[in-house]
Amino acid sequence: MSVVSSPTPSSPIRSLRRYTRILASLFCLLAIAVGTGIGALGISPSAQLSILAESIGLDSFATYHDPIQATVLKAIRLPRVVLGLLVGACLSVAGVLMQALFRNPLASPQLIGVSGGAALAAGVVIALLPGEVTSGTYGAWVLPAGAFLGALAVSLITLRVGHRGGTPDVVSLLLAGVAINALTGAGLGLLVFVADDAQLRSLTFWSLGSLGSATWTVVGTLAVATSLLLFFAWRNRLSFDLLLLGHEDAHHLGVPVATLQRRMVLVTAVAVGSAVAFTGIIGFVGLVVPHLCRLLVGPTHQHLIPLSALVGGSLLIFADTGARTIVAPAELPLGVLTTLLGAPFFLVLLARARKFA
Amino acid sequence: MTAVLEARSITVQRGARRLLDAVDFALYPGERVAVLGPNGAGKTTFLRCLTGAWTPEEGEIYWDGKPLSEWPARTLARRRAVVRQNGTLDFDFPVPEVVAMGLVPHGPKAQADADDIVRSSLQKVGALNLYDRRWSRLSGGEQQRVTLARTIAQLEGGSESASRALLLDEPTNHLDPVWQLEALSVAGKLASRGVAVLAILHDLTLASSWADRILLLHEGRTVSVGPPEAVLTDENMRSVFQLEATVLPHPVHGRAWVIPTRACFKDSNRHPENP
Repeated sequence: MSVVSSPTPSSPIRSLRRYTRILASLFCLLAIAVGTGIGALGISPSAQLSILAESIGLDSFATYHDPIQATVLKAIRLPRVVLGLLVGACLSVAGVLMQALFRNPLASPQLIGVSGGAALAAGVVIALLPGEVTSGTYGAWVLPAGAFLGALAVSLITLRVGHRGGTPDVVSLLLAGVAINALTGAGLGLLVFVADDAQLRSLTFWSLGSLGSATWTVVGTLAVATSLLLFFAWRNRLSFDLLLLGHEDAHHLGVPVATLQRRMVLVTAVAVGSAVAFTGIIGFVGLVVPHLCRLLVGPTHQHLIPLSALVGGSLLIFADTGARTIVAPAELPLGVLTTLLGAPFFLVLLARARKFA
Repeated sequence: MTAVLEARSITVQRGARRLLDAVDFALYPGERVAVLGPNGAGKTTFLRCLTGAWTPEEGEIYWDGKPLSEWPARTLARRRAVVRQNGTLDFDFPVPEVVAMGLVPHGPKAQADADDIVRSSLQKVGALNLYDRRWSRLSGGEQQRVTLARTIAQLEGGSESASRALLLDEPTNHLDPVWQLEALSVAGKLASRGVAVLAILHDLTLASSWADRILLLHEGRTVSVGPPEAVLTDENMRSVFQLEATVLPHPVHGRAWVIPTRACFKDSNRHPENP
């Protein structure tokens, strides 16, 4: 056998990888510090550390800080920042999953109708349910529960229609998603048509996305959903690589393709459905973050999944900090801000990719 | 000797078309089998049934004497590697990671010395110089060789004691003549270590020089099975390949050497320019 041997120094991408996870973690800590520190009441990093030390019982490390700062940090800022971290990680990793499922870097959870289904169900709750239902003791949970069920129902329909002979078929899934998105869009339009002024306002607010609903209860719920997604993604990281070879080759390499694809859709629907239920629609995170991370560490899921979670979470915290401070005391809709930033960035990425191709 | 893979009277029907019609075949450890036949003869369908990607309507495929469907996908993936005709990869992986995908079925144990296996697999197909490249920057032939390296890694990662098979759908596609020979020689070396190798080929003389046995398919049926000289006859050239050909013993290796002289279309699908 003729051998063309060559010394193979570790390629630049490998040494880059070693540092990206550390850098991303630092970036994430920075995001948390900035997100909790900036606002109507400034909380300096040293005050933050002091409050942290005090609340975990290390009083001797606690220097002086204002008790109001402690209350604001613990009850308002921190839940909101943690929610941003969870939702950003959830949307980004869901994007990674959908891009692996569709074998296409342009796929996102929106494509299979998750967000559309959640939006339609939320619209029904806002515009059609009588006011008493949403104002009782559990009233605050009616909207998220409806949105979650909507997301799940629509993705189940997409999955059911997008089948060919028992196996989810990528092209059918895609087309089913397009049709279902159009349908939920039309349904939402109809609800907008029948809604009164107050309902219209809350519909619009919901569809623009916000982390304003953050409480520790909401954070707890989303922590469960996001952990489920991250656990599933990490467990199957090698199989996702193999899916990119195509179904037949993935099958030849021992991946139970049909089962895995079904689970990918369901886990994404549950996780993104939960996120959308509490925060409304936050666009472009699930599309742009995996893209950006792929540029940094390549397409291998072992590296892509943790980095997307960290970067997505951090970016969403930064975006939310911007949303609530740029026009303070008013608040920009977060979904609008992420799309305003994400879409041009995505176009730049596309143009660059064309140049290199 | 038990066959590694055995097709018992398999029939595949797609709509009104019968792609395979009661095909019987057994593949034994260490042998090299070439599958030949004109376009649309059912070669790829036959291979898909052997891999379990398609389930035949009638008949059954057996691996090691047990129906294929009863084997866990993961176990099969440790013992059986496949190179498809049109392999794709939609994201831009570095070459070593493409090859390392072949080790995934073997679990975390194989990842420990993954790099050694990756390098030796690339070396076997003469592609070690591609180690630092990315998939999208490779030519079609280079991609084909890296894919072959991936399947070698898949077979090398496993134990040598279990039955193993390598199934190739036109592995010589896109390859320069030198790499066509090398690819088949690599497959041949695996066969000499007990791996059962079955390859769909187009080049009749290449098939004859490489294979121990040839399976000749035509319109979904087995026309002939046997050593190259028995299968590559003047008569089969005419009736199956619509080819007037002289078959001589090859001056170098003595196997059948097919020299086509002219087309001989049957009346039903005569070429319009040669009435």
